[in-house]
Amino acid sequence: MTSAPSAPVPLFREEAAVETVQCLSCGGPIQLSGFGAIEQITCSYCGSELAHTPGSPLQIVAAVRRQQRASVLPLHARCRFDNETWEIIGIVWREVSAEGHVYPWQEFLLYNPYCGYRYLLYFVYDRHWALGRPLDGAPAIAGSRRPTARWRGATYRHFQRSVARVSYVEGEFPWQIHVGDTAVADDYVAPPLGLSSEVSQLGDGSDVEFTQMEHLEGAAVWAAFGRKDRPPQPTAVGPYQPNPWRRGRGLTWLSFAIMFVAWVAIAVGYAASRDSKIVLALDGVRIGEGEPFTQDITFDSPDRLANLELTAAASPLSNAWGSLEILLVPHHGDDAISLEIDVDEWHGVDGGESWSEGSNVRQAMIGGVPGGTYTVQIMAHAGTATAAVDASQLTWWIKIRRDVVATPYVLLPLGIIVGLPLIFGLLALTFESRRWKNSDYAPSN
Amino acid sequence: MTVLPRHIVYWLLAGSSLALLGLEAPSSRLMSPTRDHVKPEKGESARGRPIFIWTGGGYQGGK
Repeated sequence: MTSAPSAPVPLFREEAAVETVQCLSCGGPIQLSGFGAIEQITCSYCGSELAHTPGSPLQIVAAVRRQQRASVLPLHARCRFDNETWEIIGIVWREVSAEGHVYPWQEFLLYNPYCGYRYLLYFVYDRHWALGRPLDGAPAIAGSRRPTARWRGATYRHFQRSVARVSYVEGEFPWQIHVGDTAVADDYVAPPLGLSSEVSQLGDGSDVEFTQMEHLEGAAVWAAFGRKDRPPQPTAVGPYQPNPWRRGRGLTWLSFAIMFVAWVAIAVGYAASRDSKIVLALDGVRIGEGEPFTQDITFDSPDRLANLELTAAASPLSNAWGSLEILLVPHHGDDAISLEIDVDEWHGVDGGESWSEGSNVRQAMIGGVPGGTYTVQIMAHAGTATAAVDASQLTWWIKIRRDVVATPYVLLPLGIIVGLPLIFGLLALTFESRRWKNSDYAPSN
Repeated sequence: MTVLPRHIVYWLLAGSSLALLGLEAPSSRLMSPTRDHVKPEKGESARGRPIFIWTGGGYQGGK
């Protein structure tokens, strides 16, 4: 006796197809896109929870009456991530409360029948985005005071622990999810990546899930969904947001090293090639009002330009000022160089505390002076806080040096070469400080 | 290595300031004050030399 032939086993499963059913509670249309893996459907319109078994009619698990809320992205919107097309089949709003503030975010369950699930997160409180991928393993958690997680060679620093509560659900899910569900979430960061572990208490134990997070720019999300309008602009530094000031650090250090070596070489060469000479030295001269001091000085050849450094000191100077008007009149032209040097010294007692300010020695530099013979004319003035006095009461020490090292020229490149990388570093630190101020490790915590 | 705008700004500023140090510092021309005209005052002298009066102001008129 031969048995009846059994039905042929199909070589391929049935073609995946989108199905539309009606909510058993409100009659609203429900589009089923998650195929066989769906455990729960939450009606977008009324929030009723429905059980779905392939081949069987829907069953009401919990009838709910709530209004539909507008998420930043709509259910069943399609997008492109990881070179695949994904569809939003479920939306969950979650939130954590800390120090009297509620921090909400929206999670979009993305589904591709060939690739599985991804989680797109929109943090409503700072308008940042992250894409979550399920981990096919568990990271190694180490440390208790400030834990770290290691996953595939990368170390993630613990950012915060919080209790996340579900506040809104709509769509299809391959797990049971209800408004009011809570999970203890630990976030670890290594921007632009992160790890998230969530521990949910179930009736017979706890469920731990690990997700790899990746920071996404709003523009990238909008481009993935083909949206032409502007995405929400972030209002703070996100936990997974890459630090823009740490980008290109290697090139910054290399540039700094090259520029610094170049500065040392050029500065040493410049200082070594100065032919510094004193062209005028007056020790202890008195210059009366209207009786200018004049003297001819000669240095270099007219075709050589170099600087002159003038140093003036006056004594005695007590709550008084002295001033020199110095004229350098070239014998080879009538365009003179004028310079004024002021010295002063002030002191007193204010509120029982003594103070003093000013200096009886001052320096000035003039550059681009051609060599040749000059007549130096120096006129002196002096005074107190209230009146001018006889300038001849002051004794002056005046020195003019030719071709000295012009310090501003040396310090300017050093300031730029060292200063800019320092500023970049400070901006990077400031950025990190702004990131971590929202963590469990903020200085105020 | 990624070249960012701030790298270019750094190279330009540092390179320009090094060029100033190497080429301009010996003459220090950028530190030169304005040259102006003086005239010797007739009839006034100190220690047998003319007193130069600072007329200042740069351009003193056309020809």
